Amino acid sequence: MKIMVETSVLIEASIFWKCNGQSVKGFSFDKCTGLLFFLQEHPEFGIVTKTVENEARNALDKAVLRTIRQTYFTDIKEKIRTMMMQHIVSNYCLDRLDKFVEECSSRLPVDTKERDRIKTQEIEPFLKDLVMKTVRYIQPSIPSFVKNREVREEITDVIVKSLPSKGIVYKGMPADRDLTIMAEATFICRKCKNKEKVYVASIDNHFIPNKVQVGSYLSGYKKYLENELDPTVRDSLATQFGFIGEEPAKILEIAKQETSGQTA
Amino acid sequence: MFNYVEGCERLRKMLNTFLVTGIDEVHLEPLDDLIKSSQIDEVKVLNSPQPLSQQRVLFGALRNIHGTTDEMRAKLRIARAIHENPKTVERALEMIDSLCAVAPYIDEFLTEGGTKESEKINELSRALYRKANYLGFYQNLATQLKQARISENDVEDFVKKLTENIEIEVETTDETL
Repeated sequence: MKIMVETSVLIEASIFWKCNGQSVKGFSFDKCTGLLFFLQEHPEFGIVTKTVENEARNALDKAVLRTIRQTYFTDIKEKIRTMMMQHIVSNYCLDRLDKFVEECSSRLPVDTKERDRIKTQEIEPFLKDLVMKTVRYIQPSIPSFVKNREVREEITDVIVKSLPSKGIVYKGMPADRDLTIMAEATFICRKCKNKEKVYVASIDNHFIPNKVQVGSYLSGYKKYLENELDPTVRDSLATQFGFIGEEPAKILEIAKQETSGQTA
Repeated sequence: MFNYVEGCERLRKMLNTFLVTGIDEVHLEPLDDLIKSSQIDEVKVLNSPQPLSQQRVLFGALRNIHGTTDEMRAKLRIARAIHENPKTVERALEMIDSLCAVAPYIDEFLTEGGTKESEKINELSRALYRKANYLGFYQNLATQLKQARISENDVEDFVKKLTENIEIEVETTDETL
């Protein structure tokens, strides 16, 4: 088995700060670090490609810039202090990122020409076609004269429950960088000649089964259906291209089973 | 205006002399000049009309030069006090190439008021930081925060905002919220 770490997991595990006995971290931090700590012990499973590494650095850069822009500088002293702080935090997060990249991965060579061909000629047209049939969330058609918010919400819930099929829920067409990562995963699958399963560890809904969300545009009502995931697009990608997108926690479970099976 | 390429070469000369004669605290001016100038230029960069992204890259490079040279001076003084020469000087000399690599880009920014090679500067600046850290010429986190008079609560707020912005960047925000 091979586990390709996607940008979202790498960056989520890199942003961390411990102060006053409390830690500041993202909502998926524990899931992501769990997998990366496992890969530190079993680097033979992990793959972090150059694209993923670069994208993670870019994302951190952009997020830091966005954070600085959200800060109001009363004077130059305040600006210097903020810039010093972002410098210290950025270096700390980049140190974590570098450590994960160095310790969690056996980097495989990627033929960039072939990768770009897979991206533009296979994955992009496949997904463009597929997303025509997907929805971001399920919205039952309720007549617009039902204006009351609570009534609309109640009717939405009832209709959704009674629907025989809820349609394909997917986040929409992925960005170019995600398509590149998908193409790299496909390239690696083909290199492995499908002898090994290739998982893509991600918390980005473009790669993994999507939570089923229902809502009403008119009332602004939105909620996730408990324990309901729609793996249709993920499964289609797996069938067509070979890589299996999954949440890091689930991949960790599978990997642990695999290693315990090997040792037994 | 201070010239960083010349400044780094003067520092190389100083360290090479120290290798032969031993560390002389009276002749640390090349190091002092780099420390002082980088601190002054940090403010200049932040006051420049360049976009924030460029200011940030240059500020980072200058901060790394400042942090490295400041710690180098402290380490050379300790080495002098304990007669440890030439190990620290040799290590300091290893830093010079990384300092020299980033110096021309800083000179270019300061003389021409901007740069088109932000990515290159970022890369070289990060390499400088990593080497300085590896060779022990960079202050630890606590000292950096103390020197910059930044409280733990300030960092906590910043990192909280940063995690939110990361979620926006990598598109992992919870859309029901």
